[in-house]
Parts: sequence; C-alpha cells; structure tokens
Amino acid sequence: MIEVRLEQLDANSEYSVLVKWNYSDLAAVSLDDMICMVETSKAVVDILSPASGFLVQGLAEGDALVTGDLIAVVAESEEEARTIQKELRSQDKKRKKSAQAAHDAEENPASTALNITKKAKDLLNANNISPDVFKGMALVTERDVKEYITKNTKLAPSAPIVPSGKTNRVLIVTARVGGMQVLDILLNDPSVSVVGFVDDDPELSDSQVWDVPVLGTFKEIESLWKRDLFDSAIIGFSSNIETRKELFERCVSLGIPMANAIDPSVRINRACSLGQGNIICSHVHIGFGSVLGNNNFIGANSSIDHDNKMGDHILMGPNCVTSGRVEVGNEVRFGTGIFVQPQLTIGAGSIISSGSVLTSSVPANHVVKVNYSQRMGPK
Amino acid sequence: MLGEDILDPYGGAFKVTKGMSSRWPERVLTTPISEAAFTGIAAGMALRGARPVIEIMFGDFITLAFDQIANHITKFSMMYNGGVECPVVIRAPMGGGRGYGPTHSQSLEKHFIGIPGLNVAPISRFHDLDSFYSHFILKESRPTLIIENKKMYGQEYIGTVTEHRIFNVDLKGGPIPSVLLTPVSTGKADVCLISYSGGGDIAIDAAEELLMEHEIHTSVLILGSLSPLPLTVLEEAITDVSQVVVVEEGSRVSGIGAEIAAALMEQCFHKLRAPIQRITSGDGIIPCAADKEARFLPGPKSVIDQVLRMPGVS
Repeated sequence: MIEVRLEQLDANSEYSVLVKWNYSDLAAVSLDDMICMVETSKAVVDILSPASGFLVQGLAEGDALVTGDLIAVVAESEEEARTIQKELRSQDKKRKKSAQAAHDAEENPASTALNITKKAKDLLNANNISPDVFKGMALVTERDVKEYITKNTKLAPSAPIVPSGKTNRVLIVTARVGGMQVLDILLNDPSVSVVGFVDDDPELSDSQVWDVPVLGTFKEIESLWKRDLFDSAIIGFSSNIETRKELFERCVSLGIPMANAIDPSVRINRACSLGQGNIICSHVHIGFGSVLGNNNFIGANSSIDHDNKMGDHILMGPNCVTSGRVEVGNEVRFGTGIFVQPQLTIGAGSIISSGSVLTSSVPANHVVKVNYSQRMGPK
Repeated sequence: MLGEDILDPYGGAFKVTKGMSSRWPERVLTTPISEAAFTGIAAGMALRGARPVIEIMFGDFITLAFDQIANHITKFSMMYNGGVECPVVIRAPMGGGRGYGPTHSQSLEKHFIGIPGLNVAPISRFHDLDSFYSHFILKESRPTLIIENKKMYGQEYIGTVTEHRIFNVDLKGGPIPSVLLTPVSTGKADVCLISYSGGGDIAIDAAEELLMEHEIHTSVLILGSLSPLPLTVLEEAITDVSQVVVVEEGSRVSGIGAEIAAALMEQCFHKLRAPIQRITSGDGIIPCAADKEARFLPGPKSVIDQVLRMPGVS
C-alpha cells in the first residue's frame, strides 16, 4: 500500500480543503489518475495516484487538511483495501467521537475542559482541591483558587477578599493614631470612601478626624453593618496585638469583609499574596513570592524580601528588614529597625525588640532583647 | 483596480483579485512592471473622480512608487488648497515568515506613517473585511495605504467576534476600529501588547502563554490605523497597566513602536509606569532559510522573554 499525503503545495497555504473525489471508495485506479482535487488559498490542485491499485479515501469532501495529512491510501488488492478502509473508518469514528465530546463540552459549560493557568494548577494540587469546583468558568487563575481557599477556610468563612479598584465604603475601627494612619493611606485611593470611625474613647464620640466622623463605639459595629453603612472594615490599632486580633475576629464573625490599606508607594512584587485587613505603610517593599496572612501591620520603610511567609496579627515597626525565605508565625511583635537573616523562623507570639539583628531562629513565645549600652551625659 | 498580473486566470500573486477581471473586465487592469507608472496613473484617475485601487504585488516594491505617493498623491489636495481630492487606495502585502527572502518579506509601512495626508491602515483577521475596504475605497477623501500581512492570506478569517480563545474582544474607536483583547476572567491586564496586522497573532500567542504559564494578565491592542494613530484608544488601552510593549515585524529604528512610544509619552506620560519596550525584527536582511528567518523575525517567545525580564509585573 502507498499512502497519499498532502504535500506543501505552495508557500502561502497553511490549510487546504478537499473539494472533490473523482474516484469512489475502493475503486480501481491507475498510476497518475487524478483521484481528487484539493483547494489551497491560491488554487485548486489535482492529486494524482502514486500507483495502480485500489483507492481508500481518507477524508470526506469538504474536510480541511494541513500539510502532511493523509488524503488516501492506494492498496495493492481489493482485500487489502477493505482492511485499510475498516481501520480508517474506526479511527475516524473515534476522532468524531472526541470531536463530538469537545463540541458537547462547548455547548454545556458544566463539562467544559477548563482553562487553568499553571500556577492555579499547582495551587489546586498543593491543596488537594478538585478542579471541578470551578466548572463553568472560562478561565481559572491563581487568584480564583486563592479566593476559593480563603472562602473555605475557618478564619473568614464569609469574608471575601475585597477586590481593589471597586468602589468601597470603609469603616475604620479606632479613631486614634492607628486609625488616622489608616485614613492617611486610604485617602490616596480614589476608589475608597472612608465612611467613618468607631472608637470607645468617650472624648472622641461625635467628633471628626480630618472631616471623617466618629460614628459610634465598637459595640455599634454590628448595627452599622446591618444598616449597610459600609462595605468593609479595617482595624487601625498599631500597638496592641490583642486588641487588633479581638476586633478583627469580631468583625469577621459578623461576616464583614476586611479591607487592606496599602500606601501607593508600597512595592509588591510578583507572586505575592495578601490576606485581609492588613495595613502596609509607605515605602514598604515586599519581595516576590511572599505571602502575608490577615490583620498585619507593616511599618513604613520595612522590607520583606522574597518568599517570606508571614502569619496573622503581626505588628512590625518601621524599618524592619527580613531577608529571603523568612517565616514569621502569628502575633509576632517587631520593634523598630530590625534585621533578620535569611531562612530564619520566628515562632508565634514572640517579641523582637528594636535594633535586633537576628542571626538564628526564634522559638514561639520568646523575647529577643538587645544587649548594648548607650551612654548619655552633658557635653 | 490596477496592478501586475491581477487578471484571471492567474488572479494576482496572492489571488486577492481572482475572479474580479472575469466579472468586471473593464474595471480590472493589468499593467506593465512599473509601480511608478501605475501609481501615477491611479493618481490621475483619482483626480478625475475615479476611485482607483492599486495592488503592489509585494509590499517591498512600494519603494518604486514612493515618489508618486510622497510628492504627488498626498500633496495635490493641500497644494490646490482642497480644490481636488486624490483618494487612491494602495494595497501592499507586507511581512515575512514565508521564506521569500530579503526583498520580498519586509514590513516597510514605517516609511509611510510620516507622510502628511496619507492614511496607513493595517487590516487584521479581526476586522470586518467589508466595512474596512469599503470605507477606504468609497468613503475616504484622503489617499490610503492598506497593509495586508501576507501570512493572513493562508490563515482562517476570524472577523468580528466577542470572544477569542481566552480573551474578550472589543472594538475601540472609529471609523476603522482597533481591536482590544483582554483576559476573559478579569477583563483587566497588567501588561499591554500593542501590535497590528500579522503582529497581532504574535502578541495573542504571547499573551495567552503569559497568562496560562506565568499568570501575567496581558491584553493585546491590534491597531486599525497607524497613521493617524488612534491616541484615545491607545491611552485607554495602556491605562492601569504596568508595562507596555509594542510588537512589530519591521526593523527597530524609527519604527512604528518608536512613534507609538513618543506619542504616548507626549499624550499621557503620567500614566506610564515603565519605559515602553519594542519587539521588532533584527538589524539586517531577512533570511530565506526558514529557521534563520524565524530567529530574525519577532515571535511570541521574544515577547514573553521581554515581559518576564521587566521589573514590577505582578
């Protein structure tokens, strides 16, 4: 048997169409008989039989084909031709079946083969999530998977990440200095409107901070939320982890989405991820691949280098520098001006005092103090 | 319609005019091999009220008609203070990728975007063929150079669609719109690739890989006009993206990318977050050999590499 395949007929055609068969299936053909015609973008081309024998058609009229595709087979005997025909038909059936399946998938999005980005696939595998949960979506990205994970984690069962860029009415919890810090950041974002503060300080009740009113006490968060007066909240406290955490968890339990406040001068590199309720002050740098949890406060000029993993409720003073691949547990408190060497781990609940240069990991619930002397006296 | 070898049965080197001379024998004229002559003839016809379309067999040969275009066709209307119009339409197949070598593969449109009074319009697979050609042939009062990337002759036509692969497709501006493709999931992009005609395919392939493999949301703007540049459309497309890359098949210096970069800097410097980058062909002649030609001309890989090298794309 001799196969007839489509040759490159001219330089311009990427695909051609089989226009017409001149011989029927299993017909006897002679060398150089014109068995069929193929139309390229330039012309109709005659396809000649490469030998005498029996023709087996590999395609139907109107089928598209590209260079190298099988057009026909010329068999030596009629018997051989029948065997080949059978084989080609079964291949054709299979092909049509898969084409039909693909077509059905397109008609019925629930069974569509999903477009999933590489990063999303990796994240799905790492978290043992079936891609089926995204059925019907045109495209699944890492962000979609992260949102899914966030939605399905215990911490914030009903609090979706607030997408940036949407108009967002934000309530700031505390009108004292931490809250003012948040307001100062959010005033830079035209898509955000800060609707007000809540604070327990009686001196602040019914007052205004930079034209933004104090709407009530912490107790009233729930009633303000139920009255639909804001879309998301953020905790302003920047000195007390326990208060931050308590208020954050109270908001989340009410189903309130927690906003992030990120100064426009902050540099966040590729493949970073951020939870909710974080305050990131001016000129902070976050290196690629770093992950921050929820409700953290990162002071101005701090630099979190690549591939760091930061937990929740962390307070970091200004000018703290962590090197690559540092891991920080929940509720760690950093002072001011701290350096952390690469690949160290700081356990949950620890306190690192100002001016520390960490050269080894810190277990959970430890305090690191710096032992240096500073003397002061009259000139 | 005038040009070389455009009559049936041959129907032109790329078969664009096939069938036309049989249908309208008095309106399809084959010419001797002289681009200067038949371009000049078209100029005369247009001055007398006709609507001539000329075919440059390979875009490279348009250099032979440069005098007619730069000194005559585009000058008449202004020299006679609007008293005459000269709406000649010049169709020129540009681009490589076919192994046609140094003098049959170039993209010379950059030499024409600076000629006052001339429209330079690249057709893409996403443009509605009928309205695109009928606009320039029947409605425009200025002369027009239409750029047809010759790879498109062998490709499937896409036409006006709302979705393509993993992108939403929107038409922007007019009368000949540009085509904006944005990732289907978010509609937002961090990188914008600007291209036209056949370069659009390179950009779309690159944008798809950037999204699927690297999760970099990338949009593609396929321009419907190179001269004048659709500045409002360009500004809209680059708003809120971190990086802008112009992809063109022609050579680098004084190219389309240079003009787009300069125009965007003048128009909306404050919206640019990083220097505009250019992806172009190499500096030299386009080789015939397929593998060498592929390395010489820009492809999706060169775009992807450039984007991945750029800082601040997240």
